[in-house]
Parts: sequence; C-alpha cells; structure tokens
Amino acid sequence: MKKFLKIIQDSDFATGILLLIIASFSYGGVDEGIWDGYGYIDWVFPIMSSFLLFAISAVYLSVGIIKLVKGNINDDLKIEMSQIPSIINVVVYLLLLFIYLILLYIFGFWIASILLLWSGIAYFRGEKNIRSISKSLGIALLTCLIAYIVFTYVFWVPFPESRVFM
Amino acid sequence: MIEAFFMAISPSYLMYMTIGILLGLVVGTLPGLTATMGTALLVPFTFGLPTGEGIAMLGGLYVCAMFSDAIPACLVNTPGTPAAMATGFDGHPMVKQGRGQEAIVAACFASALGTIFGAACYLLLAWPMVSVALKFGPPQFFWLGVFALTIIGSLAGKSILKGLAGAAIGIIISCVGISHAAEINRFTLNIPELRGGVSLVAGLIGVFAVPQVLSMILDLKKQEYVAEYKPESGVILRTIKKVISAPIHFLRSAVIGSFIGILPGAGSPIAAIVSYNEAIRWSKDKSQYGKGDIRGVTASEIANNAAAPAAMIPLVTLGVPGSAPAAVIAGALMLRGLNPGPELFGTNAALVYSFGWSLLLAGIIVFFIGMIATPLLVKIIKIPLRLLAPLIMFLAIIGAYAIRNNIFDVYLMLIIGIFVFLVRRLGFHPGPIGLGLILGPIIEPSLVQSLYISHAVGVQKVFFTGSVNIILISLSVISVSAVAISRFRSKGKSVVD
Repeated sequence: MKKFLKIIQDSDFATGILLLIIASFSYGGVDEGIWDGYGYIDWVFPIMSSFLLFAISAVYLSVGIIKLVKGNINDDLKIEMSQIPSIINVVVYLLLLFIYLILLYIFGFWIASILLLWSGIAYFRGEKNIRSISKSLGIALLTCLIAYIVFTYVFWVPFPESRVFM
Repeated sequence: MIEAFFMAISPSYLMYMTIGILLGLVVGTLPGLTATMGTALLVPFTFGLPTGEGIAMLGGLYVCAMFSDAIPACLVNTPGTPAAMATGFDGHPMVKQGRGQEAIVAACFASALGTIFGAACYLLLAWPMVSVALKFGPPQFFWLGVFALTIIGSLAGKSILKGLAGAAIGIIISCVGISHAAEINRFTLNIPELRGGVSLVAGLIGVFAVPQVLSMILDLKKQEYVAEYKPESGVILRTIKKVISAPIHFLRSAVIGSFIGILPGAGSPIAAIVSYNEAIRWSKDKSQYGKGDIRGVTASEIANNAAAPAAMIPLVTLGVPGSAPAAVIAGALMLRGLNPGPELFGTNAALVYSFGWSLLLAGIIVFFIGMIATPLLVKIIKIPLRLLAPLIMFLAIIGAYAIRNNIFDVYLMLIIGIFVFLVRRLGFHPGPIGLGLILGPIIEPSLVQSLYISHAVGVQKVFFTGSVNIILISLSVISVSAVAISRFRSKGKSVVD
C-alpha cells in the first residue's frame, strides 16, 4: 500500500492512471452493436477521443513503469506539511459550496446566497470580530441585492426559489 | 450609401446605439450572459423604436459584448463569453505582471479596430466574401475545426500530450447528451438533465472560473491581490502605439476574423482561436505567447470583433445568419415584416447600409467608452483575494444558472471546475479542455453530416478533394509540424516532458 501511494505520487503515473480511467469510462459508455448500419456515426467522435486518451495514457504509464524499473520514481505530487492549511481552506470552501447547494434547494436564492457570501468572506478574513463579521454581512447583502436587481429586472433571469417552502 | 451614413450619425441612432453598447458592456463583463442572450432580451424593447434605430441598438450590444468579455478574461482569467477564451491566455498573465491597464486598453483598441474592419467588409465586400463562404459545406467546416484544434500545440504548456489529452477530455464532455444523428443518449448515466448536454457557457465557467477561485484560495497566504497595480500615465497612448506598430498582425487577424465571421455556425470563438494560433505561427518570437504577450490579446480581440459585423454579411446577402446573435437580429427584422436576404438589399438598401455604418460607429464608440471605463475596471484587481474569490464564485454560480435557468448547470460547472483544478496539479492546462468544449459542438455535427454524404459519394471525395479541403488539411499539417519542430528544437526533450 505504501509503495502504491509512493507510485501514484509520481505525476506521470498519476496522469496515466487518470487518463486510463477517463478513457475506459468513455469507451465503456459506447452502445453495443454500433457497427451495424449507421449507428457508428453517433459514436465516431467520442470513440476517437477515447482511443486518443488510451494511447496517451499508455505513453505515460510506460514512462512510469520505466521509471519504476530504473528506481527513479518521483514524488512530485507529494503534499508538503506547509501546504496543509491552504488545502484545508480549499476543502472548507468546497464544503461551504456543497452546503450552499442544499440550502439553495431548501430556501431558494436569497438566504442561501447571503449565507454563502457571508460565510466565505468572513472565513477568509484575517481578523474575526463583531465589526469584521458585520462588514462581511453588509458586503454579502449588497452583492446579493445588486445581483438580484441586475439579473431579475434587467436580464429577466428568475432566481431559484425554495423547493420546500413553496 | 452616403444617405445611410447620414442616417447612422443622426442623434436618435447614436443615442440608441450607445444604450445598446452600455448594455453590451454589462452583458460581456458578466460570465454567463452571452451576446445572444443580451440581444434576445433586448429585442422586445426595440419594438417601440423605428427599425433602423432598433437594429442599431442590437448591433451596438453585440459589438460591445465582444469587447467587454475580454475584461473578466484578462482580470480574473474567466472569459465573459466563449469568444474571449483566447484573450485570457495572454491577457491574464499581463495582469499578473502588473500590466492590467495595458491589457484592457489593448483589448479595447483591438476590438474597435476589428469591429471597424468587419463593418468595412460588410459595407464594401459583402457579395465577394459570400461567394467564397458558399464553398464551405460540412467537410470544410470539419477541417476548419480540426485546423482550429491545432492551437493545442501553442496552448499545451510544457507537455503537448497533456494538451491533446485535455482537448480529448473537453470533446468527450461536449459529447454528453442527445447525439446529432440518431438522437440517442450518450454518456447521460440515466440522468434526465444530462440529455440536454453540458451547457457550453456553464462548462467554460467551470473550466476557467472555478479553478481560478480555488487557486486564489490556495494562494491566500502567499499573496493578497491578483497582482500589483499602480496607475501609470501615458499607458493608453503607449499601448495604442504598440498595437498600431504591427499592421500585418492586425490585417491578418482582421481578415481571419471577418472571413470566419461570415461562415454560418463558426462565429467569434473559432475566429479568435484560429487568429491566436496564426499569430503565434507567423511570429518571429514565439516565446512570450501565453506569458503576457500583447499580440496574443490583440490577435484574439481583433478577430472576434471583426467576426461580429461580418456575421451580418450572410444575413443581409443570403438571409442566413452567420452567428447566434445575428440570428436574433434576423428574428427582430422578420418580426417587423422585413425578410433578410437579397430582397432586403433591393427594397430597403438604406436600412442595410445604415446598419453597416452603425456597426462601424459602434466600434468607435466602444473604444471611447472602454477608455473611460478602463481605469475603473482595472481596480477590480485591487480587491483583496479573500473578498474577490467568494465574489467571483458567486458570479460564476449565477452565470452558470442564468444561461438556461437550470440549477443542474451549476452542479456540472462545479464538478468540471473541481476536476480541472485537480488536473492542473498534474500539469494540464485549462485551455485545451476549454478548446475541446468549444470545438466539439462545431466539429462533430460537420463530421456526422460529412459521413452521411460520404455514403453516397465516398469518404475520399467528401473529405480529401476540393481546393478548400486541401488548403485546410495542408494548413493543419503545417501547423502541427511547425509546433512539433519548434518544440523539439527549443527543448531537445521528449514530448512527454
């Protein structure tokens, strides 16, 4: 397991594996029996793209295997300890986005968007006191208001409404 | 034509055109709002206006959106519309080098020049250009798309193989949904929402905006702003001189943009991509492209703006719109009982020519409005990243939603965005993925139609005969060979690295 983890920290190996997965997924999605009649016409383009991905993944995997045999596998994808806080920031923000999508479904545009903007701005601010948190809320409210006016009244885009409290 | 010119410079024409231009500034700047959407939304407001003023307003919006889409592309690496994708390749690095004002001024001036050139073609060369465009059928469109794909060589970054793989991934994403021939489901995973395919705009926001925001968050501890920015005096004149000092570059980009603009279905995005590719190929010093070369910004902007007025040429000569906004303008004319085409030239030539003059004047007005707005717009990069990142993400979400009023597009945008953010760590450049997304829907229908035709006359006759096919195939081969040779010469390394 440890060795496998070391291998996939090599960008050539990781690229080869990723492309192999994408190519297998796209080729696996092709209907059966496409070569009877004109059915293939719908699949020529994705099949060509899948074969290209297979070929490129083979190149990267071969390079990775050669490196493995020669014993000079890189760990260029290894995450340094100093990078962890930044990665945590990204993960927290992605979680906020995930919660936003749920809140958008439950409460609609206004509450979800204000909460997303407020939490995002407040989380990344250096100082966290009442003043900065209220300032973040002010920015979030103002941004949502401007976006609402521009999109609803100028471009006639109806924003999502609550699917629960209809 | 003189009478039409005086119509176009009348105060009412100029006023409505300026309103259209100001709306175009907003439409282009906000990712998710396209020129097509903007013109379509504006059509009902033009009903109360005389026909000339109404279509001048629509034309003003279209032309300005083709400029203003460069603003988010340069400042935050998020193209406002698909046509500005190539602008960001050099525009954003320029901003990062503290040359934000130069990038926007260059985009604005180049857009004005491109629009004026395209409008001049509309006024003077409409019929000869259309006769060449009529030689383009599905096989020629297929090869044009393939030729545009050869830009991967310039975009791929360190590894050309990763560039190719990125384009293939973009193409596969563009294939999701109902197929073009037998209308079967492809890669829809039994999810009904996927049958409509991945919205191009939502996909591009995912490819460019989401990874950009996540990278900003990742770098929060290292940098506080997108870039340093200090306003300098004389930037406008200096930049204009730089653009003017390359007349051949201008002419090449403008001719490419105008010619691709008249091809129905090709439009501004492909014009910008081909022009960018050709700018690199014909340049003596290729090393700075992708790293903040002003010629990269101008090549893309001149072409995508020249394509906008040129897209009106097949509309007024043949009744076939050259782009989606041109189709909306055709609809606006038809709603007034005017049939675009040769008949309109005969019965209402003053209207046709006054529209051409309006487009030309719109280019000039866009330049002045752009110059006024640039110092304000550039200040976006003075917003701290901790504030800018959540704001861009919020706009990206609204933009992805607004294009089809569909929340599912937001999910897809986020999935694509997170995927691109992760593969960037493996050395993939977002450009080729975006390129695949844009070119897939252009190349595939042409390939499908050509294959159907080939059942009757044979593959070789359809794809490999005819002067246009041979020229496009040769250009593609030359383009690929030139990139391969220059890469091997400059690096002396394997293509994998």
